Amino acid sequence: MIEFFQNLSFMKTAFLVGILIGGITPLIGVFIFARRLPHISESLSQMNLAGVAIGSTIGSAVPYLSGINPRIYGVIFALIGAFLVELLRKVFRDFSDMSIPIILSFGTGLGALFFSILHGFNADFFNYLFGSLIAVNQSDLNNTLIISFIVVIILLIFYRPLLLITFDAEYAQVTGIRKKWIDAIFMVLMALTISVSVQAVGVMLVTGMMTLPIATAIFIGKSFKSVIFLSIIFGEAAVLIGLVLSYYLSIATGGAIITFSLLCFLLVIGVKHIYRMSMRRHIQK
Amino acid sequence: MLQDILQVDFLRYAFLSGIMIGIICPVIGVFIVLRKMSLMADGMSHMALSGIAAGLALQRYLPFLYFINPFYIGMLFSVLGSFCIRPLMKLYPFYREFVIPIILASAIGLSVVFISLADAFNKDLFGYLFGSLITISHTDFLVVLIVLVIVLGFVILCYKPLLILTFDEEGSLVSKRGKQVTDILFTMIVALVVSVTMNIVGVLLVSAMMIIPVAKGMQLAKSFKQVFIYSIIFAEFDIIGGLVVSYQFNWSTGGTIVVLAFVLFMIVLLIKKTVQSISRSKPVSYSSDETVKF
Repeated sequence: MIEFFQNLSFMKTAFLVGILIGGITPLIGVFIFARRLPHISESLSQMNLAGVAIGSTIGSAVPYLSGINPRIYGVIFALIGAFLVELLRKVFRDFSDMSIPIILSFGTGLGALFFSILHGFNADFFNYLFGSLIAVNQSDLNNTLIISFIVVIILLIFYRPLLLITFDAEYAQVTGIRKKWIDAIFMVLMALTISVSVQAVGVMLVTGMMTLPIATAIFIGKSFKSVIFLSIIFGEAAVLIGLVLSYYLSIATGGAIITFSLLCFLLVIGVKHIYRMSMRRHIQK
Repeated sequence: MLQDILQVDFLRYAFLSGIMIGIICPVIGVFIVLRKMSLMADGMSHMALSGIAAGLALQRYLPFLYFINPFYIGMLFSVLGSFCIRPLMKLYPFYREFVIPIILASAIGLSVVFISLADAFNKDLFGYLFGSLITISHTDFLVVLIVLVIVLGFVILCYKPLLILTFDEEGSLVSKRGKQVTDILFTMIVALVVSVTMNIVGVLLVSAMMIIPVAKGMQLAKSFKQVFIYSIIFAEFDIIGGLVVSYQFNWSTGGTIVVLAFVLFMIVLLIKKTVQSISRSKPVSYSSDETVKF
């Protein structure tokens, strides 16, 4: 433990980025759950991979574009992915669940293809897939701070319209809320959140961070606000404990974080199940 | 190129296995798509990855178990995973889609932990994730051949029960037990197909090989049997084209195959849209008597 605190200054940036990500990802995740969009978040994260791969290829091929951060391409491609999923869902009305694996694997395939074109597979690619919070530096922290701030502010501004569209679409239309605009803003928020969360848990696991804490919180929370609150707590716990575990057991950060949330999720389901069983028995008596 | 295929062993095995996989995947994929199980196939392939990772970790810590190929553990995990997915879906009865990210992310999270334990973050892992030409040995080739025989035998022998399971899940034409047996057999066959396809296109892209060719076939076909034929043709084209291109340019095999498949899919959609808008006056007729619209 002493050794751990000695390394704390080195881990400080990682912890700060982790705390920010552990907060905003479940926050967006609650709205994704309520608005029934998990399929979009999946494809957004995979297309983000493709975008970053293509971005770094363009950056190395065209010198005067190399100043652009590949993350920006990631956000743009994520938005294209969201559009493609909606398009495919319209094409296959009766088999709309097919559109998710198609876009998912297209994003992954495109990412793998461009990474292999660029410089073959290397450790960077692993970090990108599975996350490496320990590798973040000061500029990553600054970026994360700015983006988290923007996401939270926009969410606060559009909190009411978002809730209205989610739970009472007709009333929202009557009050003159433009559904398309709110949807578009929400997509951008998702793409931004994914592009920063990738640092902690990696592309393959971002959606886990957006769903597992919420899936756990829903079994406990009694109102929308309490679900938001609980999911943020579960998210923070997962990131912090996952970070410590990954440090001690030398496991990839993303894996530790998601496995910890999975254990939380299974524990809550189990406890709830036992509680219900005992209640039933109590009533029968 | 052709000379290389004839002379170099691993290339020959890769191409032959690819051709067989081009038959296996769409045949099973048609049933997967029509039974609306495409997400389940995705979940099963990701579970297979955690199985492989667990196998690698096992080999590192318990060396006397060296004879257990990680692939078999992968297969086992993917069958076990398929049995976990349905109860999870029951937890969120109004919201089944929510379960997919949970399963996918949990499976990958577990695999990452196992991979770290096995200390296997290396080139081989990329082969498992995104497929590779080099990993296919003579034994792998034989395994694919056996799986091809099993899959074709299963589909031909159980064609009627499979059709009933697909189009009339609630119907009473088959006894409940018969349906359950077919369902379990089908799931196990999907796990088999996932684990052999993994060799060439990689775990993360297996579901694409089962679904994208069928999606293309469904756009063009006018009957159920035509869907099979078109899907197999498309799958063969994707796999052989992808293998040739990826070998020529030294690109990622799975990535090339899937991107090729997707681009072709978009082209097919575009052509269909233009043809439809040209001949809008003619109603499109479906010769199949099912109420399913492609």
